[in-house]
Formats: sequence, C-alpha cells, structure tokens
Amino acid sequence: MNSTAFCILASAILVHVILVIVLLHSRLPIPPVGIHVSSAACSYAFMHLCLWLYECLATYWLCMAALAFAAMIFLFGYSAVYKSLSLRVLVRLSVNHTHMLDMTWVTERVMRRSFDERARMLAAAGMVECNPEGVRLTEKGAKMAVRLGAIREFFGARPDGLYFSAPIPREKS
Amino acid sequence: MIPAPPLAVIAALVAGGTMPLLLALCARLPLGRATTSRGFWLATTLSAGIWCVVTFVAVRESGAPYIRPVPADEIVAGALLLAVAMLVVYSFWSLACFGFTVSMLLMLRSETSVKDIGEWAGSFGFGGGMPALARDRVGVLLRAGLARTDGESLRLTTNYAFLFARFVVLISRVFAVADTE
Repeated sequence: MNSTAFCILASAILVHVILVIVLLHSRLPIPPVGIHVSSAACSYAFMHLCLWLYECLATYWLCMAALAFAAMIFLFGYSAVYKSLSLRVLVRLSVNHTHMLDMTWVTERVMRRSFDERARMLAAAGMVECNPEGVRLTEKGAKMAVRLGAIREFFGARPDGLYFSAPIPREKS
Repeated sequence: MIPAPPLAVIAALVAGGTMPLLLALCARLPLGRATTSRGFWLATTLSAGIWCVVTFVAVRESGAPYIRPVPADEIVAGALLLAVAMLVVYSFWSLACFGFTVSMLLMLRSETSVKDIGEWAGSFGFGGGMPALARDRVGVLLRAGLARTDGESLRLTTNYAFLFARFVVLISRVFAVADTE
C-alpha cells in the first residue's frame, strides 16, 4: 500500500469515527446500529471516490477490508459500553466513594432496572402487552418468538446457559 | 471502477458464508461440557481452514498439490475480510442464542401470561431471577480481576480497576451513552 492510499484509508476511518460520534450526540431517532451502518457506508463512498481520484484503485480491496474491520471493531467497542451490565456495575463501583456495593443493590438497581428497561422496550415495539391481567406476547411478539426459536434450533443452541431461559410453564387449570 | 477481487478475498467471502452452517453443524457434535462455546471455536477454526486451503493450495496439471505464492496485501485483505465476516456472524449468533432481550421474549412463548414484570424477572434463567443474573455478570468482573467479593459485598480491587472504570465513563461520554454513571 502506498502512502497516498494509506492516507485515504486513515481519513475514511477518521470520517467514520467523527460521523458516528456527531450523529450519536445529535439524538436523531435512528437506532445506534443504523447510525454505525450509515456512517460506514458514507465513509466507504468517500474512500472509494478518493481512491479513484488519486488513481489508487489497485489497493481497493485492502483498503475496503481494513475500513470494514475498523468499523466492526468500533461497533463492538460501542456495544460493550452501551449494553454491558458488567461494565455498568464496574462504573457504579468506581463512583461510590467506598468503592464497594452490596450485591442486593446490584441485583435491584442494575439488573432489575435493566430488565424493566428491556420489558418497556419490548412493549413499545408491540411485542409484549402488559395489562392488569398480566404480561403476554402480542401476535407480533408470538411470530417473532417463533422465528427466533427456529434460529436457535438451527444453531443447535442448548439450554445450558443463563440466557437460554426455558418458557414459563403453563398454569394447571 | 471496482477491480476484480483477488482469490484471497473471494475465499474470505466463501469461508465467512459457510460460518452459519459450520456453527449449526458443530453445535450438534458431542463436544462435552461447554458445547456451545467449543462449537463456536471449532466452527471458526474450520472456516479459517477453508480460507487457507482456497487461498494457498493449488493443484498442478499432474494432480500434485502445491503452495501458491500470494502477495502480502492480498493475504491481509482476505484475512481482514474473513475476520469481519466472523464478527458479523458472531453478532447474529450470540444475539439469537444468548441475547438478554431475546431470552426475555422467548420466556413468554407459553400460552399463559405471567402476572407482572416482577414474576417475569423472577423466572429468568431457569428461575434464578435477577440474583442469578447479578452473579453471572459480576462473575465477569471477578474473573478479570477488576473486583472481588467481600461477604455479600462487591469491592474494586486495584487502582488499575478504578482507572479502567473511569476510562469506560470517558468512552461512554464520547458515545453519548446515558446512565452509565
């Protein structure tokens, strides 16, 4: 890879990083993954145009692969900070002046709160309905559950982990 | 305007494309305990093997195989694309099989509804509920040496753990992630 192509690649990665950060701060009604994907597409178009203008298309595949890899690692880094419950607990520990937390507090204030957030998200997406009679899947949620169950079955995922929760058993009438 | 892809790149796309099938296949092999994670690493290794064979191995007219010389930039491009394909497949696979929200949704597959969100949360993780989830997530910090248990409490271990936590806060602010602190 020559120095021109390297500069173009570095600029495209920088464009992606800046664009993602600006868009995330702008609070647009776009999901974070959508922001990452759109920004990666824009920076790819920018890189492709520059490679063509500066006659560096011989390095196209190397630059494209490196940009895709950088965008993917960036997305993984973002996801860790955005969703990780472990990191949320670590941050709470560091904020507390004694650097200590009670496990009951962690359970109620971090885990349960996260569960409630996700439950609200599922309800807002029309997958689940919560009413005085209880919590149940909507028709849309039931269809999605069937699809996800089929994907799990295809991948042969076994109920051997915490996140592979069994369906709640039916009540005996 | 786009040059033809070199063989290493085509091989990366082929090997990446076989990953979902390999994952499905490896999950059905008798790999003992931790089948899912072992199956994932086996599928990854097989996929990388397919890429290596397609990229480097060629056959002479006489039928004898030989190692083909491949330019370094083509190898790097192919390897990076294969890594991207693996990361994409890993994201979908882990989300579908072990996603927190996905698991919550699948818990409600039965015809009967749960009484309220509290009962739903209590049924998570085969009835372990939120305490089991807390132990599982805190276990990551314990194994990484960032925290230790002190009776029923959790404590930061070293200054390194504190600095790492502050780094996470800094990154969260850069990414505009709310509610980390």
